[in-house]
Amino acid sequence: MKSILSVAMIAGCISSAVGCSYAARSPENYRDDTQAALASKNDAIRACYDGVLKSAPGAQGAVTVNFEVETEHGTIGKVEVDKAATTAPEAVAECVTKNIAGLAIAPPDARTGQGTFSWNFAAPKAPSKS
Amino acid sequence: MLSRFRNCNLHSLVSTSLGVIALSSLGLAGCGGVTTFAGSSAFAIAATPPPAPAPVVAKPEPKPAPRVELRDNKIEFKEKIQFEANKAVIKPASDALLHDIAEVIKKNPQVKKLSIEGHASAEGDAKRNKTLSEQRAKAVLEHLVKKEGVDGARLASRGWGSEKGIAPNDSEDNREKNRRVEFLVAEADVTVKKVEIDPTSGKESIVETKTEALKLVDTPAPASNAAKPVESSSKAAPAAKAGEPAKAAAAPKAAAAKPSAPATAKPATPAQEKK
Repeated sequence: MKSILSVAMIAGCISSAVGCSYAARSPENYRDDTQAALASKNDAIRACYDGVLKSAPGAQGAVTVNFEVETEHGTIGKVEVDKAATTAPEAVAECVTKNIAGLAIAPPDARTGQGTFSWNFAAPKAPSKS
Repeated sequence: MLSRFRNCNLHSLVSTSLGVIALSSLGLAGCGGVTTFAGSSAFAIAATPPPAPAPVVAKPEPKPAPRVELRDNKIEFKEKIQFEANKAVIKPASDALLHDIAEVIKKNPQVKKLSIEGHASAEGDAKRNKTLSEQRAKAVLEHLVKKEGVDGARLASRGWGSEKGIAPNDSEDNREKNRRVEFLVAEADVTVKKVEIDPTSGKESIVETKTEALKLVDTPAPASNAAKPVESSSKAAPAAKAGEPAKAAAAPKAAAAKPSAPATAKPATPAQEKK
């Protein structure tokens, strides 16, 4: 009886060790690692925004997105614009969503991340008419 | 004893099982689940500022043609030297023009002698015209020497009357063209450079440079003898109209007076030394 129980327990432990990476970040670490990954795309987002401004001069405001970080590869997905917290035009928001989708944090975390991040877009000031 | 052992064994078994379950649940707790987080601050994305507009560089306005210039062995100017009607008295309106002419003379020391030549139209008495044109040329010379400080030794004057008209005297416009004062370079220093051309490289090298005086126009009496302001008589035939200006016009081709340089020598223009 004892040996049966022991084997079962050891098997349970092994199974949980195999199915889980144990790289479980604290919420702060999760946020910081994700923020670093997102920041790597800021130049691309700015370039996209510059392009938007050509057709919509003065377009600016805040874009807030919610997303998930999956556990297998640490990839950011399910990116959705938080419309209530977004003031920038849709085209500007798209600059964020299309650029951050597919980003990954390394190593992937054992836990799914649910992140909320914001970007503030500022258009250049129009030259004053004097 | 056996039951005690069994009890003990059972107790040990239960406690061991609880420990393992606790460990397993710990592992399961770290694996799976959701961590929720939000960015500590929003990313600031400022649009790339548009390139600063290129500074507007003021296009330099084309330099206006000089009022007076030494060119083709003569002093050229578009305006006319204004004289009082039928007199060899220069109007004050021409003072500025004569000042500019004097400046050109002073700035070109290679011009050793300048012939101031007065011309008239064919209207009126030919003799009187010749005299008046001569007197006017002298008046100009006098003005340049006395008022502008030009060296009198560099100037000579003469009057041609209507002998050297530049237009037929068949219209007022043409007669106006003929009434003029010209400034011809009579003598100038010329720098002659003897140049050899290397047949292989084609490079030119100056073998010899010499400056020599070149006489272009025969000048009459020296300036000092000729320069006396003269006022013509109003009784004489009207060679010139009231307020008649004497226009500078194309000088006779001085090129004809140029000496032909040796085949290997390159003469600089008489007016300016070629370096």
